[in-house]
Amino acid sequence: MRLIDFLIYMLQAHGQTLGRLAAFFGEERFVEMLEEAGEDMERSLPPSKFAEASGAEVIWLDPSHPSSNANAYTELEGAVRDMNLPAMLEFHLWAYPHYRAFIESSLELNARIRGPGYESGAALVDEACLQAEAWMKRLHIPPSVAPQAERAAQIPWLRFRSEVLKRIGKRPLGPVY
Amino acid sequence: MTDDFYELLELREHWNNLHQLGDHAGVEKTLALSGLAGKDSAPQNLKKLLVGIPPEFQEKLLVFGREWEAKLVSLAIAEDFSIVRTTLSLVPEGLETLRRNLADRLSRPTPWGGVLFFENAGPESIVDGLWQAHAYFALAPGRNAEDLRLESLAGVKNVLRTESVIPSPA
Repeated sequence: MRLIDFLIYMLQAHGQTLGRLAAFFGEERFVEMLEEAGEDMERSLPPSKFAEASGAEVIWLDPSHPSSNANAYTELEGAVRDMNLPAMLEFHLWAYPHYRAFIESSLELNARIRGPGYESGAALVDEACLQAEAWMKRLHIPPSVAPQAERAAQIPWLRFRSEVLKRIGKRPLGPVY
Repeated sequence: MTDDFYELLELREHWNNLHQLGDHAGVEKTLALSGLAGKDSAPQNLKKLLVGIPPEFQEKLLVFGREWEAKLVSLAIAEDFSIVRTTLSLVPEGLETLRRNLADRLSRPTPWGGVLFFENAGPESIVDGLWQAHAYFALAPGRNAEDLRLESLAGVKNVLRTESVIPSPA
């Protein structure tokens, strides 16, 4: 799985989260909440150890697959367009801090994430899910509705977790019937 | 805890996948979202969800390992779905593919039901290398088993019989 595919899954999960929360709070109110959280969101989220890695630290990407960023942005833009989010939500999607950490790094978007036999893929997924939880906590959600809102936001990230782990190639233990 | 049939169906799929991948954190999260964590999945609590359904079918749902299906049936009934049973003659080694194809068929163009479970269709369930199986489905109001076109799916050799277990009131 390439880094760009991982980022597309991440944006899809975040896009679904934005859509679900907009449906829950009403789009206008939710956009206000996003704007209230605004800069505080970017400043206070924990740093990404994967996006901030450089040079020899990037052991989670496979150096045996030469790569470049050619077409990667086009793929990303196409995937976001397909989500059909309202303009304001799409704006906030592109601003998602964990995504920005990767896209603004020097990492090659077409590089492959190491597959079976490496724990880095699972750790990358864990980090993305923890970042999503941290993002959610930065929204100023009234305590009376917080459990329902958090629940609505968890399902897209569970889907992300399930689909990305499968694609990264974590070795299956066997079918469950 | 979800009260939406299709959401629970999706959670079951993720649970299966994450379980196969040995992702314990994901498995726990899925169970918590489904309302099947801890004592929620105890037989006495599942039984409360199944009040009013035919005792024979209730018994099948309360066996160990069918917690998801018990909850799916309770939500399906609450949403006026019907529950049907078809008797099929199947290629045993193709079961996993068949499950995936059926789930896919039931999700297009928009979701209209879900696969519940398969079981042996009697004490002599392997006949000439084929598995005689009962397949249970939940179908949205207005849909019926013929819409599944089971005979066209890879792995299905013959559709022997279709019965209604719980009809839709709609």
